[in-house]
This record gives sequence, structure tokens and C-alpha cells, in this order.
Amino acid sequence: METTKNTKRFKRIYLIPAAVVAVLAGLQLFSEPIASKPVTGHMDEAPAEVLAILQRSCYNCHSNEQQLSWFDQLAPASWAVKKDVDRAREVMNFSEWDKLSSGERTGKMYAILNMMQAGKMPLREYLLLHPGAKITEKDIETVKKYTLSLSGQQVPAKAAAVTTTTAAAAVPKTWPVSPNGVKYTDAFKQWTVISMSTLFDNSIRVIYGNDIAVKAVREENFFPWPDGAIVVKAVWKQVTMPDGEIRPGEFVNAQFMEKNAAKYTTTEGWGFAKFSGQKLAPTGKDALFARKSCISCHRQLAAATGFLFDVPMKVNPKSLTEKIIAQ
Amino acid sequence: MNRFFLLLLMAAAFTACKNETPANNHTRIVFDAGDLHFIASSLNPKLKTMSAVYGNDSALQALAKGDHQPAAGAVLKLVTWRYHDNPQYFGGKINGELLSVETLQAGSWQLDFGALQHPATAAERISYIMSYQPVQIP
Repeated sequence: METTKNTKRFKRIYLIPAAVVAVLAGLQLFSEPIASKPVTGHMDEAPAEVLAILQRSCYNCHSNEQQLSWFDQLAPASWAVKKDVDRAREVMNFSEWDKLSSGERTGKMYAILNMMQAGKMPLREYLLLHPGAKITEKDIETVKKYTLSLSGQQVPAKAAAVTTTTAAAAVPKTWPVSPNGVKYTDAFKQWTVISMSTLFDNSIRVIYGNDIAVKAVREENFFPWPDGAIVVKAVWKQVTMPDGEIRPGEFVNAQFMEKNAAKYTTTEGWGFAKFSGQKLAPTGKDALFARKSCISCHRQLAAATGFLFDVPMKVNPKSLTEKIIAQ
Repeated sequence: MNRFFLLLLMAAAFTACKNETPANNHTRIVFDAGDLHFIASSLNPKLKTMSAVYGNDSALQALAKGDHQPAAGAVLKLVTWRYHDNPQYFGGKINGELLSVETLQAGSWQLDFGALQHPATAAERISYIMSYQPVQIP
């Protein structure tokens, strides 16, 4: 009697790990490998020390050249790894760096720097198992120095350029629509200006908001922003006046963010759109563009203001508002 | 006795944190220009200021034509802010403290709020405000 009980217990002790191993082995059958893609071109323009940092800390996800550990390749961990790599490649791929224009490369370098400075990249869960990818303060300084050197290369136009922009432009007869359904409207020209900004010292921007958006800013109603809020950022090239003052010159683009929680579920409820040049050409071949190029930065770095970068700073005394209203 | 003293010190240290009331008397200002619309903007790297020009239709037309004197019915406002590095994105700048509000109406200039960054006469301010060109949007 006693021996049969012991045998049963013995069997149970082995049965559980055996079952675990069997399940794990079974899971491997459902493990889909990461798609192999060719290297089309690297970031050859950057100094070696910058490349070393990116290769060590970013390439394992943001490239077509993964060097994965054995534990990354075992299901179910491999499922998460695949998802991360697929998404990382969508947002930025160091093996396809040649596909970017010089302006896009500068923008990406600022995005990289901001992600590192904010401690958002590499992802915390990735660092737990890959401590070698950790970014140090010195690494950030190296990336910062290189990034700042890029923006210095783009010299703003002189004042003479202003007059050249007024030429008769081919204004579209019907307003363009972004692939995700965000419609352009010129109504924003009559909206309230929420804030003004610049980026990388080569553009000057004005951010307009409709009444819903303005009310949300004043009340700090950011979590979440109310449906119907629309914010439009108009971007111009900088023109330098003889006295050094900078003014808007040639129109570059108008960037829309339209809040509709039910419609834009994959981009935190915001519909992103960019309409560029005199023809207001919409950005993106399909509705996925915002997931690839907009929300990744907005989600990681602008969560504190409901995913908008250019809400006015909270630096003015409350009494000032009343004083201005009184006038 | 020493232990009692230490306890008192620790208690003081903890309450000190609690006494720190958050200086939350600040707000995010969106300037309300009333019936006037945004016409133009500027950025002054030397003064670290950003300005916006608002106006009515008559002001918009006068600036578009490059007039040096405002038309009789033109109303313009020049609103100037200090700018800072964008706290959410390195590489960007954004307007911060409101510095001044100037109004140009019926040919006369007045400072509604704040202080000018440089001493200037009314005539100089009128000529400065009238030097703006409306922004171009297709």
C-alpha cells in the first residue's frame, strides 16, 4: 500500500516537468521565424562611435541583422521578440537607412536621441535579459553631439526668399484626404493659435486648435482628449531678416491630429495626417503610415499631455489669465 | 535622550516633505485674440522671444499689400512670449511666459500688458508691426 502511494507520488513528480517540456516542445511548432530581409544600406555618414552605440543597443530589433540569443528564439519568448522586431523595423530600420532623405535622417536621429534621453529605448523589458544593450550617459552625449552637428548643416534662407513663395500655386479644387481618413480643411486658418514652436532650427511652426481643443488645453483635459478635438500644426521654412529675426517663409506642410477614440484605435485615438507642399499631398501609402511613423514617438515621449508635443507650457501665473480676459 | 533627539529629527525630516506644497499656481495660457485672427509670427534668437500678430480683415489686407501705415479700420495685436526648449522633445522650442501684448488701432499704438524687450517709441512699434507679412498657406 505504502509503496504504491510512493510510486504514484514519484510518477507525479516527473509527470509535471515532463508535461511542461512537452508543452514547450509543442509550442515550438507554432513559432514563426522573423522574416529575413536584405540589408539595402547602412548609416555610413555617422562617426564610428555613434554606429557602435546603435549597433550594440538598437540593431537587434531595428535592423535586418538580428543576433538573437537562444532564449530569444524559444517560444513563447520568440513570439514577443518577433512582434517587437516587426514593429521596430516598421518604425526605423538601420539596415534600410539609405531609403531615407537627409531631412528624414536628421529627424530620426533626434527621435533616437529623445528616446534615449527619456529612458524609453531600449525597452526596459529587453534590457532585463540583454543588459549589454544599456545606454550610458556618455553614449547619450555622443549621440547628442552627432545629432546637433546635423541640424547645423541646414542653413535657413535669407529674407529675399519670402517674395518667391507667393507665386500662384496649384491649390487643389477638392481638399485632400489622408489614407487613414483624416480630411484636410482650411478652416483652421480661422482657429485659435494654441502655441508656436520650432524644430531642429530649420522650421518655424504655429499650432492651431478648434474650440474643443482650445478648451481641452485650458482645462488640461488630456486623459483622454475629448473626441472632436482637432489640432493643426502649420510648418514653414525659416527666413532670417537682416536684424537676425526669424520669420515664416515657404510653406512646408500642415500636420493634423484629430481625436476620435472609436475610429483611430491603433494610434491612441488620434488620427494623424500630414499634407505637404503647395499641392497639400497627403503622407502615407496606406492607413498604416501613422502606426509606422507618428504614434511611436508621440506615445513614448508625449504621454504626459495626452500624446501632443506642442501644448503650451504650464509657466504662466493663473492671475495672468484673468488680467488678460479683463481687457 | 540622544535617541529621543534622533526620533524628533526624523519626524521633522518626514514632515518637512509634507509641508512642501506644490507650487501649482501656474496655468497653460492660450491667448484669446477675440475676433482677430492669426496673421504672422516671428522668432528672435537674441531675445529668446516668439511673437504672433493677430488682426482683422483690414489689417490682413494692409500687411499683404506691404502698407507701412495701418488702414483706418485696421486692428492689430502683437503678442510676445519667452521661448524655451520643449520639455517633451529635445531639438524643439516652444513659447513659455507671456511678455507683452501690444495693440495698434485707429493709427495709434498702445501697450496693453507687460513690458517691451527694448525701449521704443510708438512710431517705431507701428513700423515694426507693419513690417510683418501674412504667413502663406495654400
